[in-house]
Amino acid sequence: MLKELGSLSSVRFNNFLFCILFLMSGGDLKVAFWSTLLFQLVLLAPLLVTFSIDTQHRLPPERVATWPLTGTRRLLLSSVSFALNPLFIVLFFGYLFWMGLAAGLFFVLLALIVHTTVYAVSRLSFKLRMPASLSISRTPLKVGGIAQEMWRGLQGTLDFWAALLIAVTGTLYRLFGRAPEPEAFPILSLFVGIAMSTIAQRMLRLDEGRALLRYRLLPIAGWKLLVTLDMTFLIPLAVMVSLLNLRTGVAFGLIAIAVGRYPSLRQRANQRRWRFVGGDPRFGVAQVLLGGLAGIGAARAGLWVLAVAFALYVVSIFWGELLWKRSLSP
Amino acid sequence: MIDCRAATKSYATQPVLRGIDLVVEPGICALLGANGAGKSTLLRLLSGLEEPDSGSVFIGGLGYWDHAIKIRRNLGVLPEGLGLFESLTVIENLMAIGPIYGLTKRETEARTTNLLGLLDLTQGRHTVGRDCSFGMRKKTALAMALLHKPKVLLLDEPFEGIDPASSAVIETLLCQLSNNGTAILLTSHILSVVQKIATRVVILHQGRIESDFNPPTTDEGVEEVYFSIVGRPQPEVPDWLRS
Repeated sequence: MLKELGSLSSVRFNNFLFCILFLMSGGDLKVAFWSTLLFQLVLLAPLLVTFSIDTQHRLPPERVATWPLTGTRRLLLSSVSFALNPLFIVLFFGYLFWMGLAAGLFFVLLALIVHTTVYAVSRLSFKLRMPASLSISRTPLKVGGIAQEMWRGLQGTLDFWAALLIAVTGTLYRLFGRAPEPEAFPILSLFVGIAMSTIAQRMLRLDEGRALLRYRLLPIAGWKLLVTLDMTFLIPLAVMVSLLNLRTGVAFGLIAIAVGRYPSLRQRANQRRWRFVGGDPRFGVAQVLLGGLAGIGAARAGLWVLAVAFALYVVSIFWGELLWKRSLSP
Repeated sequence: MIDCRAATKSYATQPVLRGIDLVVEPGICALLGANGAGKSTLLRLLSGLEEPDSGSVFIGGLGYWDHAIKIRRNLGVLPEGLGLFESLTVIENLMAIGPIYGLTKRETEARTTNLLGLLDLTQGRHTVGRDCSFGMRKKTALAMALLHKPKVLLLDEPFEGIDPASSAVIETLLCQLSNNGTAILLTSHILSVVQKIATRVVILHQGRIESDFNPPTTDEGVEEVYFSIVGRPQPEVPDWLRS
């Protein structure tokens, strides 16, 4: 259980969580609960999915088959496995003491809904997979395979799904809300960017650093590799914010990548799948502050701020090329 | 083709390689040694994954600092960590790297099909890297090293963890490649395979080259030479295991 808790502790240095805690720290804690409820739900939903991927799924099926369990016991184990996660227990008591029994029970109810959904989806007979003939590596792009690996790595982070949830909620608000507030769109774009930004610090290590070894063996210039990875990060971000505020989201993304360049190339912190990405708090604060300035600037002052963000991004590519070469040194 | 001059490497204060001079020409050169002798470290230096503390490494007359991309186009490596794209399937791993080595889509597809068939990977070709068995992962990594028909091959324990049928195929493949002018440097602990295919044997002991010989010209087998250098173990089985 301690190992499991340790693997989830990366969330401590996640930019999105940092921002939510910052918003909460301003005033009364009870008021903060309601003012940040949407963001709590966005953070909890993907986290609860990981709790739900039950014990049996983490073990080889051939081993589970040898366990002396009846069908009823197996079902029971599957039904309660999410509650055995230590972080679930910590969060339950957190809500209980913070907002009382009703909030604690609401948390358990939310976990049950997510768990039932995950259980049902995992037992569907069809596979929601792209046919091989449509895979990116079959496109004429030379670096299509690298982009494909990065794209799948991106989808293996909870940050991506949290960002998608904010983007979908924001877009629905814009399209169907009664008199939506235009000032809200750049802010929502910023939150999508913030939710994605920690990934930019671990771009080369999303699969626990295994692809990094292959990247080093391939005959590809460092800058080409970095641009491929960056674009695979930036394009989904741009799509997510396209109906909110594109300029804000892209400006934030460019700065987040530029600031995250150093930790992504030099820090040996491998990222586990289905976890929130754990970053370096110093770079995280810089990403949020500088990216936030660029995002708001791009929304209010115009395209020149976006041009400045792009210029900084280009500088980070050249710097990244140097870091990539030096990464041969121990 | 592979030229390593007075290379040294230490981790913390522990010297791992102490002045390695090694030139490898076309053929199969087997690098032997006990665990921790420095074989994998030497292969990492030669693959450009690390720099030597002193000395230099040239592949095809070129150094890594200025010509890394040129070198890598003609270099195939089976690294210790395998270096698979874990989110991609076996076939996608191969299809992903072909174009980066300058192969056309059609060439990549044809070669991928050949290699998957040879290495008995056809059935599991749509298995994602992280779900593959160790043997499948190793064979995929080996196929990735061979896909672009490199002039220099660096293979870290290519026969370990591989089934006998695939092992025999790999032996044949390597012999064919070496006959066609490929310089192959491999490490292995399976002395019978080394005896069969190697045209040259280098034994590394405590970070130094202790022996360098051509197996067909010696009267002794590889095993005798190996144990004369690293010492033949005389294990005393504890009583609790005997009874």
